[in-house]
Amino acid sequence: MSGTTTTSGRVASHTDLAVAAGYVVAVTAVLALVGDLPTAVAVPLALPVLLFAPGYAVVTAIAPATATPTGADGPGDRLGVRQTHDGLSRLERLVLSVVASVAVVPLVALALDFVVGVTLVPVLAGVAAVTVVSALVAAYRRGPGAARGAGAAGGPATDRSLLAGVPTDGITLGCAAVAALVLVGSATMAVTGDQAAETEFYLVTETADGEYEASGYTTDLADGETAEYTLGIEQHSAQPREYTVVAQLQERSGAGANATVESREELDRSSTTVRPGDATMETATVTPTTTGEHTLAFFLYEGEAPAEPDRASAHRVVPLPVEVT
Amino acid sequence: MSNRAVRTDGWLDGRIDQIGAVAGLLLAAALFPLRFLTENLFIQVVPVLIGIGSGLYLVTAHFGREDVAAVRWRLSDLAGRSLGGVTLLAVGSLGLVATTTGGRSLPFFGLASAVGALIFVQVLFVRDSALRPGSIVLQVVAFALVVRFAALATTPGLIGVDSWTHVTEYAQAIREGGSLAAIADVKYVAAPLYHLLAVVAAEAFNTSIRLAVYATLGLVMPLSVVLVYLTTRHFLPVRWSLFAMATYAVADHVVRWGVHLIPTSLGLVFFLVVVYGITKLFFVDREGSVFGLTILVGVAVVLTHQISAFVTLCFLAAAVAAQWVVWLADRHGSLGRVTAGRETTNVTPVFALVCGLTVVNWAFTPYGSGTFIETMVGSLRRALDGSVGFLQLMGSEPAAGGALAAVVTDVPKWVEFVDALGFFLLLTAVVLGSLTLVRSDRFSQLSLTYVIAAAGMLVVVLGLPLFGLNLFLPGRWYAFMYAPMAIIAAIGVRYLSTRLSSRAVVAGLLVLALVFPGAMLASNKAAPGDPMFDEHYPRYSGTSSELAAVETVSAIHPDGAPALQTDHPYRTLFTRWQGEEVEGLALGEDGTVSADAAVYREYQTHGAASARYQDDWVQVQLQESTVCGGETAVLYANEEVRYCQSPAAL
Repeated sequence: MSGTTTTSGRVASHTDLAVAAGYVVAVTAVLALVGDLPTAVAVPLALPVLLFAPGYAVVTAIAPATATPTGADGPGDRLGVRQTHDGLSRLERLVLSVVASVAVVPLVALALDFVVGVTLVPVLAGVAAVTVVSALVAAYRRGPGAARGAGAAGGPATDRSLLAGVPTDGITLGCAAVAALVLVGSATMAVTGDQAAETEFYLVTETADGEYEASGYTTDLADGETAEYTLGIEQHSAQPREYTVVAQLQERSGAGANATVESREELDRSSTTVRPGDATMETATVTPTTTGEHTLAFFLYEGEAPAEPDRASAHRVVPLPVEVT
Repeated sequence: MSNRAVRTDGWLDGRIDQIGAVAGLLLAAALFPLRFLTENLFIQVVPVLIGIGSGLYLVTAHFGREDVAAVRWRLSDLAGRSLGGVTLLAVGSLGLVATTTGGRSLPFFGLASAVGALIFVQVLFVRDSALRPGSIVLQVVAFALVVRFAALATTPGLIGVDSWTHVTEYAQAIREGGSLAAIADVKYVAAPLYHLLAVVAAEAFNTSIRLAVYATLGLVMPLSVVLVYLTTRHFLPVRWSLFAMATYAVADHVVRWGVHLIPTSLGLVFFLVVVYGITKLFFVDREGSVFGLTILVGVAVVLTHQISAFVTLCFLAAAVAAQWVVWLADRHGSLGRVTAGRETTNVTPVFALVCGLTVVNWAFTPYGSGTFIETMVGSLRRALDGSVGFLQLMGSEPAAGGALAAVVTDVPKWVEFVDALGFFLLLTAVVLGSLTLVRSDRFSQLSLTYVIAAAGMLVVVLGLPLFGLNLFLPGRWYAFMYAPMAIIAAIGVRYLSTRLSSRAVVAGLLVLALVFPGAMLASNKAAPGDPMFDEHYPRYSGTSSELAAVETVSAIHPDGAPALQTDHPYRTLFTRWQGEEVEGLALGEDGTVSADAAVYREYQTHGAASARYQDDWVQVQLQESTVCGGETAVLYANEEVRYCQSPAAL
């Protein structure tokens, strides 16, 4: 695919097609031989295969001719209405290549699903095959035969219809460079910035098969007898964190939002370290000594808990209605 | 393509546009009384807009002056370059604002509106010699990219509702199973291109499917707006082609599918190529290449999304209808000199191929208890037999009184109006543009194709819901409809700019440039993950606290226990992401909630959550004590979410 002599005598270079096909084949080989690459490497490597190269070859095979701006669309009067549109301009080819790629890649995957399922290497091999065949067809169609039919055919897109409209003055280039830097910086901040230190606190029981679920709580307690409660703690910061869990028996008056705590009795206090992403199960052991209907409140504090824990100072609270007899 | 002689003996000679304008006025007058029967804003405003557009056209057609000299008020080369530079800097700043303010905040919306206005000012006001299409295209694409990725990058999880099903259920199942057999009983087994693209990209990038979708389809969506420019460029000057592209790029529903990345998004991209291909067919001598490209994407859209395929078929049907109308008019000479389709082309083969493939595909697509065709025909029959009736509007809320009224919230009329302002401006321009397109010197098969397509889609979007017929999911049609609408609107605005006085044109275009992009970007549809009017329109995304709660509560809520209740749309995260059966919060007559197991989130107090009241959903603002108060046990708590059970359920 080095070149074809057209009727006009110039050599129609097929470098663009060779690069497109070669790139897809090379990336397919790399992914097949190396296997899983780090995402930071794999994304820039594979993106052109998924979003450009196959589509470029297919679009060029279907529409090899390059548009030639004529008449009112020429540089002398770019604001006129276009009249001649055979062939594709650079911008048309660029956009259509992207769209065609996101059609061709899954279409190949669909075809191969009936044979080998949806697995990466066979799909990429199929995409590479389509790209190579399309590039060969495109090269052939760009040749002398096609050139005879359409004067604009017979070579890669050589017009400057898109670039002619892109300013190269200092103001625009400078502003574009600054904007790009700011965007890259913003994206970096978004990716590497501190995540919210989210803490989850919940009351569960352990089932016979070792799972934890929100049922089967001990709500009827006997005066002076011990009961155990399992509290789950999860946190999603970057570092391990210290937490303190306090169990408190509360006597309340009123109901709902108007309820007030008349008396408090601390029944248990323990500290634990929770690593990011892990669910730590902490057991609270309580031995109530006051009969009646109460609320057994579990407070979670980051770090140390105060001497008199309450709802206002706690990081998280899970209250459970209980009756002590 | 054929060129035919112009006829001059028709009875409608040269007057179709004016007859159309009179018909528009009559239609507006006929629809106007509907405002007294319903509170629906669209029913109240749309007839007025049709009347304004038609009346304005009639007045300018009779009294306006052609080709007002516009050079005097156009900006110089230096001003154009400076505006371009400032726009690029502002686009860069948008990313910074989004990052530092945590997403699409009010400052972000303000700056984005300003950037949109800067782009429109360049398009409309920079003089011809200084207008650089490449620069404007670059700015529009960069702006579109930043607006969409500001939402994607700052939102934990996915934006939207359906995205959770497509990414975490279907695509994940294909990835884990290594085959489409994993979704064999889902309709997308016959339209799997989106899911296959997502899976292949995730495997190639060695990353999650979410990030793979963002890195592929997320990038393609903002680039696809260029297709509107390329389409329009075939028959309009650069300035108005850029105007159509910019209009489309900031349109609310177009932005929506750029952040809610599902098969509809990919279908929309393919649809734009079909519109481009059909248009280009009218301007090429050798049709084979364009025909081939159009068929390729026609096949792709059928294999991507059923609704997208149906909308594409409707557009192709409009093209065929226009072909037949022009043919018949030409044959009978009834349109006189305005007919003849100086450029006609045979689009029937494209329609026949795509239609045939669609029917075959749908005949093998599993859906409900049968095939897609069987199920949809059955649903249509039931819809026609049952719920359909004039002014049976979806979303009409029941009247709330007493204690219930204290928790039910309404969207203020002015908020509704601001939210829809962009669409209203666009619609008015479309009325003008449609009448311009059927004017004698523009009437052709292609112009008729656009007018029929836009009118037909408007009927589906605005007309059928009047009768309670929502089977075709009209909300999905907007972004597709906006493609022909943006093009027609450019023609309408161009027409006005040549008919009115210079001062009126400058004032009108300036107002349009300053208001339109901001209004569109402020629409709740443009920001489903973070609406500007966040107390009035639901947020279809989860915070990190809400997402953490969904995972943990779903894991600890016991099987066989009473179903969880929470608000809409939060419940969709449980059902679609975790497969947990969750009902809507049931609201009593007294505005209280009685649930054995409920999930409260702070959004229920400050946002636009919905609860069930009788058989309807009503927007509410509930206190924590209403959902998880009294004697309930709070069994889970994080920063924003509580999970509680009644004592009876413990």
